[in-house]
Amino acid sequence: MFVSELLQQIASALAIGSIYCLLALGFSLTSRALNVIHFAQGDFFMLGGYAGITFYMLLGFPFWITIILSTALVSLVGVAFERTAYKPLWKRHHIFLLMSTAATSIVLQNSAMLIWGPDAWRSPKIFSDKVLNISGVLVPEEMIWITLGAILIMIFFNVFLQKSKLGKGFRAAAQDREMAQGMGVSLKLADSFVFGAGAGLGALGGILIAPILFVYPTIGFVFTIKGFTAAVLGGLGSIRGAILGGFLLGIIENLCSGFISSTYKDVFVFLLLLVILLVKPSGLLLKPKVEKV
Amino acid sequence: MSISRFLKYLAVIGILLVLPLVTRNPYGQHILNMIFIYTILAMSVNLVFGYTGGLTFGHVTVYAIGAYISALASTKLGFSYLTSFILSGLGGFLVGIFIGYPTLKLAGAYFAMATIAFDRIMQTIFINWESVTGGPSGITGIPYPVLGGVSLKTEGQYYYLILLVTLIVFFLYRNLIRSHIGKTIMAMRDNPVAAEAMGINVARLRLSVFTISTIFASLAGSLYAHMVKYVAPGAFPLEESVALLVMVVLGGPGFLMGPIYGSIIVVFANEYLQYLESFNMLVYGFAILLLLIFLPSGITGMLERFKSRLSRKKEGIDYIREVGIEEMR
Repeated sequence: MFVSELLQQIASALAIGSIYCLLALGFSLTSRALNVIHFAQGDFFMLGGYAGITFYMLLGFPFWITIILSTALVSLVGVAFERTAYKPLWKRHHIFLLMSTAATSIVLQNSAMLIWGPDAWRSPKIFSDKVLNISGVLVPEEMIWITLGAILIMIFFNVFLQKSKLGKGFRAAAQDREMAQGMGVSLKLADSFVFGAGAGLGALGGILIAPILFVYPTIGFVFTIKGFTAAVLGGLGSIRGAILGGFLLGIIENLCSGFISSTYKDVFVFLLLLVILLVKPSGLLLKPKVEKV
Repeated sequence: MSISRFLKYLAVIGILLVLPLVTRNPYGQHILNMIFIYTILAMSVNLVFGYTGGLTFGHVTVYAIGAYISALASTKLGFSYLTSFILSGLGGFLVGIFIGYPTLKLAGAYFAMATIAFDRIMQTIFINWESVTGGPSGITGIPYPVLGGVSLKTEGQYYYLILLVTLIVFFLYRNLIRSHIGKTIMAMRDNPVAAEAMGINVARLRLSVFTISTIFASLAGSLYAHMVKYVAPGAFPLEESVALLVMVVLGGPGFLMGPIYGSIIVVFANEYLQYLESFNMLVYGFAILLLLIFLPSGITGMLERFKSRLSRKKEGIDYIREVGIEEMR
């Protein structure tokens, strides 16, 4: 009885966990490449959700065009903020850049409220609404599609970074900017890629999860913290860590709300974040970093 | 202290003493009191943001904790005004130690996230622990302050107590910044690794400054609770933390007088922004983005630059900036 319930909780955590993976990947990207924590990560997730609903439901595009259009649009928003708001702060104290990203989050949140209104929106069912019964564990079919979609995106993203020439250049830029520039990597392009891809990953999460979640303008805030918690849980800056942390966070969150109390679901995540920061801020997969001069 | 400076302080204090007599309507007096409370809060945020380089979203939470402690002590426990005021200061101290000790070792973004998490946890406690905090409707019937037989019933009378506390906090804050510790704090902010190599105990210094700032914020909360006689979780949203950061950045982060200019402007601006309803946050967001790009040292920084150009003296202005190895040579 207990085991089947446990399996049920874990199975229903996979979809949301895969979304946390995407968000955590965005955090890892910006922190690894430019040592920036992008506070608006969750708000790009929110924008993605809204853009998905707008293109699919209001304008009636097919789903695959919706995904491409909304991701591209949100990535452009990310790049626009990088070019206009973050670039001038590059040489200043790091706290200004951090604050600027927090201000971006506020601007995006309230712009969304202006455009789509303060009420919650729900996307129509995109995937089938059948529920599979795998030896006693009930799994809605759409959750499987969401998880598979997120995993596919992660694999594609990883292959791009590891195998393509452009991706290798961007990884080089994250390691040593000057050397990469000397080797012919455009730093301007690399920086824009980091913020654009971070925003795009968030947006993809938003589009995928929109059918099973209500989207409202302030939803991004909680997802920023959860994505960050997932990233820190696995080890901020590591891609494998982001994926591990995302699924782990989804499972922990679901177990806590299933076995302890669902009203305090978010509080468990916040407590978990505080505990990780207290005990091992470098995460599960990374060694503690020693700051060098 | 030279005589001219002494006279200047005397003149400022004199003006502050007669100020409530000018605005006799209760609304104006409420605004005046709020400016002082926000000045205390902005000073405490400036200590953390401007002087130690930590982005904090948790100071409104500490402010709320101070307000709740004072409210609980004076209503449910029946303590006198002074005792509850001191108790909330003590609460601020404990919160500073508890939050500061684990989080201040962390770098900028981790610290900011930890303060957000702390804020959300405390909000949940305020709303859900109904037997103590009164839940979403909060605590009502907080008595007006009585000090040594003198009762301060109206906000006009309460003004003088708030003024006194603000002045004391301001002088403590000023002396901290002007002392050798202030220089150490700024050195730590500009390059923590180098400061540590020079023998500064970075972790302890950060914790001390943070704790001082939480005590200030908590005392401001106590002042607020006895002024409006009512505390509820809705009065301390995360947006207030953003407003505090706007005050500090607008006034000039890392400048002594910055929070004072910032809080005066933002409190007045807020009265007009209310007509925009929920979109005042959009204005705040854009204000921060634009200020950080075009005026990162705020009003005070602009004034200082102007002054040093007039006097043609090349005085060093202490901007917030990261000092790398290249610049230190």
